[in-house]
Amino acid sequence: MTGTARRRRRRAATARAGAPILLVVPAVLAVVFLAIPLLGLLGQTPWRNLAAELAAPKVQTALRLSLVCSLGAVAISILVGVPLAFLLARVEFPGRNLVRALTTLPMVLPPVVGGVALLLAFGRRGLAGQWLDRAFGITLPFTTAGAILAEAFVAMPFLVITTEAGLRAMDRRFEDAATTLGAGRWTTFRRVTLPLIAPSLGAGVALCWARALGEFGATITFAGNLPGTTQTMPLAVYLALENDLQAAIALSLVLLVVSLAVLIGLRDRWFPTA
Amino acid sequence: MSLEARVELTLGQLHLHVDLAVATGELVVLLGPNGAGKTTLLLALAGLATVEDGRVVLDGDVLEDTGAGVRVPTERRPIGFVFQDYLLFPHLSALENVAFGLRARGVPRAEARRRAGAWLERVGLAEHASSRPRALSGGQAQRVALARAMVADPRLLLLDEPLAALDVASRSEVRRDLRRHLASFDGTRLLVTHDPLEAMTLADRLVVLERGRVTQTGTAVEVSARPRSRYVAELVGVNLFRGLADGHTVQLAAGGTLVVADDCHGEVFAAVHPHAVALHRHPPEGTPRNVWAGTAENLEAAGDRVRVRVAGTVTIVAEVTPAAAAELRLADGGPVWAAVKATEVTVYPA
Repeated sequence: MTGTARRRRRRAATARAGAPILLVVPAVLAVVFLAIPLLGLLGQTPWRNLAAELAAPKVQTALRLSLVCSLGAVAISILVGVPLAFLLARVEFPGRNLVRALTTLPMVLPPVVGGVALLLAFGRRGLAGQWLDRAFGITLPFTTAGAILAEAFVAMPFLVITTEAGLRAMDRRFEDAATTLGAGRWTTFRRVTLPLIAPSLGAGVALCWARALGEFGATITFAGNLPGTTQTMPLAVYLALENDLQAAIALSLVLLVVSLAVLIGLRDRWFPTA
Repeated sequence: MSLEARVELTLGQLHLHVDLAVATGELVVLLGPNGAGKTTLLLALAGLATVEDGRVVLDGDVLEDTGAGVRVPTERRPIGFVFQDYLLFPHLSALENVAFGLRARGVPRAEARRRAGAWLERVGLAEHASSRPRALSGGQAQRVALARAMVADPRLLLLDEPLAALDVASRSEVRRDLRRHLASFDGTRLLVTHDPLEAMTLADRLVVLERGRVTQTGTAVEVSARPRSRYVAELVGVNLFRGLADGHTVQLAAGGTLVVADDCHGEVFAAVHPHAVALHRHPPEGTPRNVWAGTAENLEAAGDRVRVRVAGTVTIVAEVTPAAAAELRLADGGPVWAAVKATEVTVYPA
């Protein structure tokens, strides 16, 4: 039976069963609840002077900084997160499950707690901060580097988890086939492993970036809220709500569009049609 | 110039312990039931499974010698491997799949593509060069896999059940092509299968592997004439007995005796073809030297004949015409007598 036929049959079965009112009412409520805020945002958007709002220096600064910070966080995540995903997927080592749990922790940890923890570790008097300050004269809190670090802390797990899942799902015998064709480790990785896990890697990067872009709690706690230095879009939105609603809405719209773009980009992964 | 291998390894339930020699230009088929260790042996020869104890020498080059601590990594072994499900890289075109081995071995891009293209033409897939593997039929994918394994001129070609992934309809045609392409290869060839037909039609020599050990080697004719295990006997459809011979009688290990024409002594195998077994409803008189009473069970059609198992002191499979089966009312059960002439028993040392 083809996928389409199976789907059609399933749909027919649902239609036959009908839709019990007991399910429909709360379900519709849920959809309305999820949709109304978005409609509110779209309804309040100053479409006429949206361009002008987005071009305002304050908004531009936040946009640029957000781009720098989120891309920086993604770069760090790729640099250390992908190797970590490989180790977790491919190498048996004692405490592997512990490492995996630790890696996933930031996904469930309240971001503000992450910020506090970062401050205690990398603050001037923190465990690692003290040493960084003394050895290299580097201070992280309340700097752009600190904002990048805070975003990477919260966003990296998304890349690690997705990449690890991709590596686990991959048939490793393709790598065996490559070695029988004379490919060494690096060639095999570059020409076989990487292309085969590319969809997972891409999804991981997209998720990681979206999470970094929207990061609020850890950033404001660890890096503060300094315009041009650590005031990223979500922080700017929060601040603008007090005195410049139009700017807040314009920035929110940008974040919403980015989220939708990521969602659409990953739809085949999350909502497979076949 | 040849392959000489001694491989010992343990993998889960499997204890592989094999001595194998294949001459250059020879096509050896490894035949055995599922789980016998055939694929594992190929993987070990390719360096993809860890050999615990052993030595593998190909054309005088030591690929593996556990005693001397030598282990040439897979990518530096001059081998070609055709996997059971081909494992064509799904993200590369047919041409790029074939060119992969050349590129990995440092052949410049343009030359690699040219040589890969020539191979695709050789296997009749020139117009599918830019197709992705998922767009190819099973038979086409198999030929791409073959071209990919052979393009870099390996000295040892390993094929793991190259026809198993194909449907029955396309199998005979692909088998014919495979035989032709294998014939054009002048290195050492080792093919694994559990399909006796494939084994008999392709092999210069058969090596039967059961539970990690070689139980028999020889040409298809030799192996089918003198099976040395129940597995092979069932494959070629003969009754196989084992026993202790003393002159013209064999004391069977499972009970009963067998009278044979040849004079022999010691541990022997005795093979009786089912069509040489005559069935009677009453004790027969006259020439047959071997007569056993039993009950007919397990009637099944085999071509235009009926195979019947007669269970008794000596259990034996007979093959009779449907008319005879009806006349003897075999389907009703009850006692029957199976008779075999001494001259119909092939006896050979165990």
